[in-house]
Amino acid sequence: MFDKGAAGVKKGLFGDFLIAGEIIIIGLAAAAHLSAIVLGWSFGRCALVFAGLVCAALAGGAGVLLFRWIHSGKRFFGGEDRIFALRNPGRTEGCLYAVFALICLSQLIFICMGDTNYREGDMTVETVGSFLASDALYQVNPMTGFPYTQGIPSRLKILCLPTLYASLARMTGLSPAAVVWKVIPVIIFVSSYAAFTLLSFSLFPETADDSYREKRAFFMTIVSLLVWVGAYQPGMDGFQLLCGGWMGVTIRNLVLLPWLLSLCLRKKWFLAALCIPAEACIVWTLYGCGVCLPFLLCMGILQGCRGMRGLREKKGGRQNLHDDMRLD
Amino acid sequence: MAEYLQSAWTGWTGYTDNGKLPALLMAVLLFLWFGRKKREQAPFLVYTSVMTVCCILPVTAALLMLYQTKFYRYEWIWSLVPVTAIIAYGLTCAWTEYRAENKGQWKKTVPVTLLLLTLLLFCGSLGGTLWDRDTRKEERITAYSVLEQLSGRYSGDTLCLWAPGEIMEYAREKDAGILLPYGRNIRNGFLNAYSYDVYQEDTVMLEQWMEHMSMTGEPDMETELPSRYVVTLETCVEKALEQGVNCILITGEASDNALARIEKVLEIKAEALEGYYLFLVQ
Repeated sequence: MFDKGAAGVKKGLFGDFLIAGEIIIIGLAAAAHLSAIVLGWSFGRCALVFAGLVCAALAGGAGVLLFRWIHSGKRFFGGEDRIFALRNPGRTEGCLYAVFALICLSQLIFICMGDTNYREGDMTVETVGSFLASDALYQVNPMTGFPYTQGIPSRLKILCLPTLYASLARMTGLSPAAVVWKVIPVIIFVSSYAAFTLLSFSLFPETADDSYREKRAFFMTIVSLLVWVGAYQPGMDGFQLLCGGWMGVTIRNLVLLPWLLSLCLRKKWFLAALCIPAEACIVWTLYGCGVCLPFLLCMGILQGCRGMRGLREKKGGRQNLHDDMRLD
Repeated sequence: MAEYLQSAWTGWTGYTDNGKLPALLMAVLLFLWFGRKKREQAPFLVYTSVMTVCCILPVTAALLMLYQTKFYRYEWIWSLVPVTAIIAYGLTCAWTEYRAENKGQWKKTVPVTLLLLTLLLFCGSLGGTLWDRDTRKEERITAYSVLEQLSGRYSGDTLCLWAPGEIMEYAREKDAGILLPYGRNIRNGFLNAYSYDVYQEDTVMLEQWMEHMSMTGEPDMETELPSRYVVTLETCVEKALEQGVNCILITGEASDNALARIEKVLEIKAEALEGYYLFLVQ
């Protein structure tokens, strides 16, 4: 009844590198942000430190890639299960991907054409603007511009997304509104589809026939349709992706969780564990433990039970074979 | 706990009112459990089913809401359920398996494909949103234009603005250098969770008076809290100046009496600005 799942897809895929890279950037932003909060740095200094850390990480990443490329030659990024397979797609698969591309394009236009942002209960643009205007982190109330009289909750103070966005605004010269409502939602949009693509790889692993390719294409088309269809109220995946792409909860629900699920199905537990601190840095989980931790724990337990059951069935099979042989 | 149970119950009703994706989720789960012989992704299916049940049953939903704390509303407990992933997975299984059984019979596969598509589209609204984006867009354009002109006319260091709600709403978003006696969180209590700061009574009175002025154009406002008394224009303007306000913008519908009284208190003349009257205290 329970077939073998996607544990076979063990190799790191391009999308894994992309999302892991984003988590590293979030981690670096959190490091710079926390240093600035603890040591009382100005925002300018914090942004400089963050830029330095990103450059160092990029240089390190490039070094690792170069090393792996030299050692693995042409096969690097060229596995069978890479995302952008260069094989000719079948007719149905091609049609499905064409529909998927059209839907994605329409969603990108929707995000970019402006005034689709849902800012009820959100003050990210004002917070980013106040960081830039006051050259300090969480010193002034973003709603008024006057210094805080009572302060803010410490759990909120350690969230790094405003610092990350403000640093991007400082580096690019774009306005806080442009960074928060345009640039970031587009990045999250791409990352979200990358995460769902990885999930499609895990849910439909390669088989002897080519049916898995159609399944993956159909899955992605349905996901893109669900994004449109689900854009009717806050909290739905579609709404969050199209109208609130900059929010921490959107990054968690649309990038981290699909990726985490894909990693759990592939049993890549180390990368999966990365999602927990990433969530803590971007989502105000207050004093709860967020969503990634219970998600990972439940999936780990279920995968473990399944593994044990498989092992028992295997042993039972072997024992039966042994008994049969003795009888013979 | 009773409060959480109440929110869990009303939350579920609200969650299913606007769209029917939860119904599609149920249908997909039923199909994946009982409509197929094999279950390739059993842990995924078990996890999603258990979490879905937990989010629907009021007691477990209340416990989940307790876990995520009061800051998040009911719909956010659904973050624990991979709704999009499981629906897409279920529909993919249904479609590909039906197609494999009826290979080459497009008269059978095309109607089923269309049926699935229709089912999907009827479960939500394609890009429909709950708020009026066009009105918001117009409001923002007007506010940005007024704020730009204001910044151009003000020659001092820091502009501290007191204006009607539709301008105050966008002031800090447009230019974080502008200070305000109160922000949009005065009307949106949810935003107050981000800070321990609370507005004093005087500040709340300023907001109420400005909204009264915008609606009626009259300078004095009667209030019943804490007891019946009249809040005069002079009191409010003085309170605003005490709070550091150096730019007052009032509605263009203000009565002549109101204008004359502000001019008298501030000892400056009003300037017209895109349907508003501007008082700049340099």
